[in-house]
Amino acid sequence: MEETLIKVTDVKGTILKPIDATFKVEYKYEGEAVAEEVLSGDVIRGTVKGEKFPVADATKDLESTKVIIIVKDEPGNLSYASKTLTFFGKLPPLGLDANLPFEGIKPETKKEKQLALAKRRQVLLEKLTEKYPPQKLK
Amino acid sequence: MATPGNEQFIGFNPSVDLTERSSTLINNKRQVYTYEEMMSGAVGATTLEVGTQGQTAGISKLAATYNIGGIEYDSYNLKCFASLTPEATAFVIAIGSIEVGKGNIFFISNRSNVESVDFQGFGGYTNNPLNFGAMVDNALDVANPNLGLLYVNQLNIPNFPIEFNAMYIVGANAGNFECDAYIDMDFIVLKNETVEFTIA
Repeated sequence: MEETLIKVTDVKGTILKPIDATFKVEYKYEGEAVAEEVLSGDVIRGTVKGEKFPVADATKDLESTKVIIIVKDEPGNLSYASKTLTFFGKLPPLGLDANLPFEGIKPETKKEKQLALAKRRQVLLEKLTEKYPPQKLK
Repeated sequence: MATPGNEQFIGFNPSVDLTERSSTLINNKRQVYTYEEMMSGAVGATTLEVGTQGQTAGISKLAATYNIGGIEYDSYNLKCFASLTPEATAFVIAIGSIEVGKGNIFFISNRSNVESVDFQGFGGYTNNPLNFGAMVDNALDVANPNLGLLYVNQLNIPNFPIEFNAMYIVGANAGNFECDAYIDMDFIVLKNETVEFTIA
């Protein structure tokens, strides 16, 4: 059955559904110089789904595992930083919250919020008028 | 008709266990709603502020709570009255922002209405759910279906936290149009989280 392996959240636990990100899962074994990438792909609507994290090689001693979230959003979109979560001697837990740190601006004043709303409104309106050009009034 | 009291509506005191025919359930195994809860706060006053685009908007907390798969939510109502005028092919009305302490917000109900004039058509006013196909009017006072876009947009603002939800009314059509929009939507947020509305 498909489970949520990773929830790409902010530090408050809110799922970052619109985030543009990829993920990698790496297992590092004792005595090996390089970690093995066991899983990778795109973050879809703030989550990574799958059956489970791959089973570790039972013939080797697992030193650590890493879940790496790579945020691809351009500056000006969602402002959350990439993050690596490390687990020593065990697999990552199912349903893991990534808790990405926020790197943007927290609006404090009403004016700041209203300005941001107006600015975004203008961007939306410009996109709309490209597709639905103004008509001259008769 | 006078508004019934909670116990009048339920018909018995919800704290007293009663059984009903063909049922072995008692009240503590049932979800018992009071009249106020069933009305979900639809009665009572909602104060709407006036915004920068002439819109009036506000939110109010509803009585209904939800337990969805073990996660509890409070419910709120967003209202906004706005005129999409003067006629044009594209409108974006900023309603305001809904900021929550943490968690995503989910709109679970939308009763928004579009009213237009049809004086030179079939007469009177048209009222349709706000959506693609709703009747909108033009300078000739004739209402016709909007064949472009008509919806309420919930948007994240670049560089702002994900908990900041900007709300807009979006309308577009190949030809010029105008209408009035009455937004009435319910949303849920994690129980006991802060919810703040700022008019645009």
